[in-house]
Amino acid sequence: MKVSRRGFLGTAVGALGTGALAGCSDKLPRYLVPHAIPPDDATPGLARHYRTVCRECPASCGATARVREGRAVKLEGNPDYPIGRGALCPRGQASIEGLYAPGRLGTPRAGEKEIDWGEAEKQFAAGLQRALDDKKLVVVVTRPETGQLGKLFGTWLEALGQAPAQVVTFDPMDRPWLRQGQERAFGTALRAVPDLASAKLILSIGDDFVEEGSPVEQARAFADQRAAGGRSIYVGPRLSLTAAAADQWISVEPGTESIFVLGLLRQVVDRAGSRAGLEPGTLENLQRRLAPFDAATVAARTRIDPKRLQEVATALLSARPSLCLGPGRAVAGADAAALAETVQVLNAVLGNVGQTLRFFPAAPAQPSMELAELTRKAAAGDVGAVVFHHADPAGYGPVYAGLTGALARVPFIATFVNELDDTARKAHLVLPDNYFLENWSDVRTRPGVVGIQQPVMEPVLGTRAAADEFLAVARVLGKTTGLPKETFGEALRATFQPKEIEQGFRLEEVAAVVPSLSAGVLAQLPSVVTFHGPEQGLPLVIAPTFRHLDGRQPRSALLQEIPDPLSGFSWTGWVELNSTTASPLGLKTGDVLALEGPGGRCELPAFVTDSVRAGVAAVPVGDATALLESKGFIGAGARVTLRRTGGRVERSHTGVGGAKGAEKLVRTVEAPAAALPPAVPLPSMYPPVEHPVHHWALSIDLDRCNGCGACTAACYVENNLAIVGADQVARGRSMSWLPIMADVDKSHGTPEVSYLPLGCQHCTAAPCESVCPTFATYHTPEGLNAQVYARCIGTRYCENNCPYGVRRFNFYDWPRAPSERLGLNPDVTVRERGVTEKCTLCSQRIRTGEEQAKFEKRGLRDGDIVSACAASCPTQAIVFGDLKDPNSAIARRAADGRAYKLLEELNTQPGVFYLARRRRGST
Amino acid sequence: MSRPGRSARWTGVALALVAIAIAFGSFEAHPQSAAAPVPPPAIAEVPPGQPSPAGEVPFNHQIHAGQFKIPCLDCHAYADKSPSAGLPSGRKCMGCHKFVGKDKPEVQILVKRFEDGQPLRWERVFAVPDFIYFSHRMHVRAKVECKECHGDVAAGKIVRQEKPFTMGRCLTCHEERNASRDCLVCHK
Repeated sequence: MKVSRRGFLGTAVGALGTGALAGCSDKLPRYLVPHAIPPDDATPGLARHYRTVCRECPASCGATARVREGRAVKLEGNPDYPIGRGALCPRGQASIEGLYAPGRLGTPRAGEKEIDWGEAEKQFAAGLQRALDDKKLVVVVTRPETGQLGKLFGTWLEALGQAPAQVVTFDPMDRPWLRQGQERAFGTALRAVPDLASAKLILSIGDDFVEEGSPVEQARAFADQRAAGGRSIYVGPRLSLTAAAADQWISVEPGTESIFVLGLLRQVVDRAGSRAGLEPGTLENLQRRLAPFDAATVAARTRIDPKRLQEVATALLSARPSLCLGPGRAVAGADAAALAETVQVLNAVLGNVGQTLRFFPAAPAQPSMELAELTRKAAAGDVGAVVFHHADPAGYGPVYAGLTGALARVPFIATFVNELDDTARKAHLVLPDNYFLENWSDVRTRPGVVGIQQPVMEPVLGTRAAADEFLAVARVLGKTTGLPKETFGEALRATFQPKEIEQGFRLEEVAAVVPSLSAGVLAQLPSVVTFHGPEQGLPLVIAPTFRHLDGRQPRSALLQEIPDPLSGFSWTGWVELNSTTASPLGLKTGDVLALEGPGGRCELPAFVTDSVRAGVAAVPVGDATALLESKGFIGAGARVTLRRTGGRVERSHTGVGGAKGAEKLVRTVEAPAAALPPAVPLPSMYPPVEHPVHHWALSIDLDRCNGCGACTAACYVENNLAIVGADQVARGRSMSWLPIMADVDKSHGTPEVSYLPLGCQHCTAAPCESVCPTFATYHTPEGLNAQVYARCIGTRYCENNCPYGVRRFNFYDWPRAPSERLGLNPDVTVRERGVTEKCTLCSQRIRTGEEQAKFEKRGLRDGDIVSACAASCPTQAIVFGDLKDPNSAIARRAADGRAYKLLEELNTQPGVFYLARRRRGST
Repeated sequence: MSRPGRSARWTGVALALVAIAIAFGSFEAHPQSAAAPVPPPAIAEVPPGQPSPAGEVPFNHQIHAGQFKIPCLDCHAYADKSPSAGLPSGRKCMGCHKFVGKDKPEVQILVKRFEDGQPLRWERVFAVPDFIYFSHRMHVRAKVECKECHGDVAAGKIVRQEKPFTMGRCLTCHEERNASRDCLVCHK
């Protein structure tokens, strides 16, 4: 009698009647339930795609949701949408996790008590009625709502008999100084749209545009600019992702960036003179104002070599058009608007306005209220009710302490949230809103572009659309003048053509304007940033990172799990200290420090590095908010003291900055056109392997990769990767299939960082395959190194024999909340304990693509099948395709002189190849 | 393939193993639980040769597919379009049962459920493990008859899984028809 292992276990479980062995298999559902009435547009087993926009940050990239059996399982970009153009950032990728997050609220709450929607509407109406009866103000505080929802708030307040201007837009990552600077320079309110791709030289004054602003499209444009031979200079205290991607990093004395820019402007004005095309009066005015900033003075104040300043000025004058950006958060102090004005003057003098810097008339301003005014009125007791809409001022530490304190005097606070946040904990009524993937809305983040956010699925929980609750409460109060009678979604939908909804956006003609400098420009010169806080402290540098885009601690477990590519920390923030600052204190990476700033304190592990200027402490935005003063903005100006606590935090083993071996993996070429020496074919004892039809492969261009981590996050979501938690990550058990390694090259003076996404190399002569005792891993006829989980018995021989260290072992059945299971990709097996896994090159996508082509009786076209990492890459550094197709994008890359394979000398013949990074020196 | 008495033998083997395990203390099982009656199968895999428990409605394939010769794809409408064959929706059932068989108690259950806007629930009979990808449409396209895997459902009142869905069985057929035998075609 044959006894199969699975048969034995199944019977044993049944006979035991215990759960002792039940963990060994996930049961299939016992019942099958068809629809009572099937939806017209859905076929079970096939994916549907819906266009929408991502609302994880105000940039609002276009998105496409893949929906299986009524559940969104993956978000991709929308290739036709001008913002994002088909890519998404890690936060956008993590939105699927947010949709099914176990912490999402499904029922309204009054304080701690869960209530039903009827009761919630009653309490909402009563709270507002009390404010109206007391003749007090009702104020709406919302995240940026640039479309019809923003207008609805005004109309709603008007219907209630309030002023429509009582809407406060709360966006802690907004950089108002950039708009103010433009207005001061050109004398009128404008919307700027920079065109990074066509600039021959980009000068960034601490502007981390790869991390902040509209990161996806800016990263893409920046990579295109580099590929076209464009150059870039970054001025700031820290080697951010943006600075690392630039050719040159200049770090000046903290706070003196304004002096540097003024000195630069003087050089440019002096040398361009009357050719700058300025009005004679303006030119004279500028020359007079800038007279004190000669090269020697600037060099002394900023502590840089005076030659550097002249070199930058020469570069700016010779590379036309150029583009000057900033100031970014890392260098923006209280006087940032004046610095922004100076940067715009620099753009105008260099002739960039209308070229690389297009301006549009600012949209007619919605009547609105400033946060400071709300704080004042609330403190004075004039506010009777505040309705928050995805706005959490209390979640930013002491930054908005003024408002948070004043809220205590507001008798009624309601808040619309997805998850319980710090403001919701103070609210009288918490109303769970639909997730953005379940809601109708629209966004106007760019002149001429209207993004349509359509729901891609029914709500997962018992949530309701916030807009409809605003309408419902107006009906309860009997004040519906001007408000739509139907639901907000229906009203919004009626304003768009079906075709526009299908493509996800509408384009409108908007004429650009070319403003000229106002005569009295630079009436007030930007001052040096003054640092507050403990006397002995170090200036605090705010570091925007992809995980902290909105300035808060990331709530998403996925974003926390992915290590920062340079510091290597996950599940925690860190404080970056230069080695010359840290070594006298005896600090090592991982030592926990207690930081104390003017606003508060926090504890973070140290990251000792050369990628930050000496004498400063750089902290990611989310952690830094705990240290700042209550000034209402997140930027430079605080000083912090450091004290060792004696604790240690271990870093993730994957993606550790400058990890051993990473430097051997990254290769560079010295000139833009240079090629690597050709690889010498090595002898092999094995017969050559044929790939008769397809040879699927991946190529990664290190010159385009900026380490943003979008590929890593996309891989987690697409392939059901487990999130293992801080403790397991520190033990090196992260399940990431595509971690990003960093290589810091210090041989050229300033450190130069290259990022390298390192997944399975899909070797044709794979060392892992020959050691597997069960043939669980093998080479497919299509070039994949496949892993058959059902065969794997977990010997881990393959993991030990892999020279790239990319195989991952499941030490546990990683826990998943029931709601998280809803978001799993049904095309990918959830691996169980004791099984090895690694990158499959998205074999499920290959299978689906091949099946679809075969079903439609056609051949596969290049681009029919795209791996999740390649699809999400903002810079198109990753290209997936068929090496057997000579016309494919990947075949063209394989023929590039920069193409190389990792550890070629081992003759593993990887299917994945890299393109060497181009070094362009420091001049 | 159906072997009478197989499950009884298996239970014996399992009980013996359990007894050994308890004796050596490797399972934390209460001794009584070994003697307790075997609970109804919570596992979806219905052992080969066992009749499927009826769903909410004792649906009779003999009448539908046998007597009236309704083609399989009329009700399992997605089998030629999608990896998933699909079960008929309530509306599809009502397409006929609005007019026929209204006096039958089984049909009355259906009508009642449909009027309540509720779907019917069906007991799963055929299953492949969740690490397997199976595409109905590619098999229909390759002109594999439904009954080659599902048996002659028109012949019996209650559908049962006559032959197990084992990898060997899949591979035999794939070999006979010269279909791909690459692991990744099925293993996902």
